[in-house]
Amino acid sequence: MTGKDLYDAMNSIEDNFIREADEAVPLKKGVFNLNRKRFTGIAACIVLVVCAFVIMTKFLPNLTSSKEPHQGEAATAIQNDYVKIYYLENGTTKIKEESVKLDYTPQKIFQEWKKLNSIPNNVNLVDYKIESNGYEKAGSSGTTGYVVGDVFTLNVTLSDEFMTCLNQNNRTALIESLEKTLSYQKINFKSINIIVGGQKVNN
Amino acid sequence: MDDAQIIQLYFERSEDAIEKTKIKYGDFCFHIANNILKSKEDAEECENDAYLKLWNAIPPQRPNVLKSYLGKIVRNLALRRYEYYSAQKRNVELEIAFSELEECIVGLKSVEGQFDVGDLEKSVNRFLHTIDREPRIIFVRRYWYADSMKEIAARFRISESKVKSSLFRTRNKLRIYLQKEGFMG
Repeated sequence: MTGKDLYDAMNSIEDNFIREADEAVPLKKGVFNLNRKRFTGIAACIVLVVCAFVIMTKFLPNLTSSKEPHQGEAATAIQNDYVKIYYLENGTTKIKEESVKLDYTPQKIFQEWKKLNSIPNNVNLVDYKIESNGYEKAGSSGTTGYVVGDVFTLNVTLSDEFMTCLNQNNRTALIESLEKTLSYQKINFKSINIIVGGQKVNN
Repeated sequence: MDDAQIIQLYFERSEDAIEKTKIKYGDFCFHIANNILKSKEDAEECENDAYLKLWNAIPPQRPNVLKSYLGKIVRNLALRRYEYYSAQKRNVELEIAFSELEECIVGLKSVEGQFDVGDLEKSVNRFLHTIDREPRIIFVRRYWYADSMKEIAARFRISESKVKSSLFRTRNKLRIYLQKEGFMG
């Protein structure tokens, strides 16, 4: 037996090992050695970011206005992750899924959904907002804290042109595929509202 | 197009089957072949041979995971082609990988004598189940995908020395495992 024989034997390893090594993203958890010093540094950074966010929302409300489309996109982008895109198969109402590697942002995911469903280019994602029952709470020493909510609602606003893509046959399935695609974040939404022209179009 | 649809094209003997496979998995196949052969032309030929082999295999075969099925074909073809290379065309990186694995078999009774290829393949598979996910991914990238340590380090944003030590530990574990599996020296 030689090293090459062993190398050849590797050819018969199970498919899941090959796929696992192919799809693996940067090995963050185990491979990075989180010693105490590094952990303290990361914790300090997180505290700084949270403080900066609280100050910005309190004193600079215009900067965090949700009127602008795509707002917050850069902050939430995780590059090149697999996302399931749902689409209607060849003009039928059968919903299929495809895993696509792309930037993990609502805009990029919506563009991919459009492409797979042959939605015209003039249909745009105007706003993507997650609302929760979280709230700010004033502390005893004059500081403000944030109590994280446990009920989440996803509000998605599309441009008016989306209405032209809906017909009696595909309406329910197309909207369902959009709901499934855009709820890609691992959050259990209480409700998802698809809004077009100020009106909610889904059930 | 998903894999089931591509496989269906093979069953229908549609000429689109190879085209769709190439679009979806061309880069993947080329990467594996080129890692082994280190020659663009040879890797392309190997990739095309793999499509032909896939065409002949389906039907009757219906692979569960088309990507890894095709990957195994192309890896196997690339290794066979590599055996015919002259000394001038040797891939230094691959030779290093062979010699690294050589460490796992020093002292095993099968080194000098006969061994059952099927048994060895099963043992390697069982061994991969026993180790943690991260060293396993690094091990498979190195010895299945034929990635260099530098490429693995860049891919997972870790240091090269970390890759090296992970591979070293895994090889030692494999050696002990093979001994326990009956390849005892």
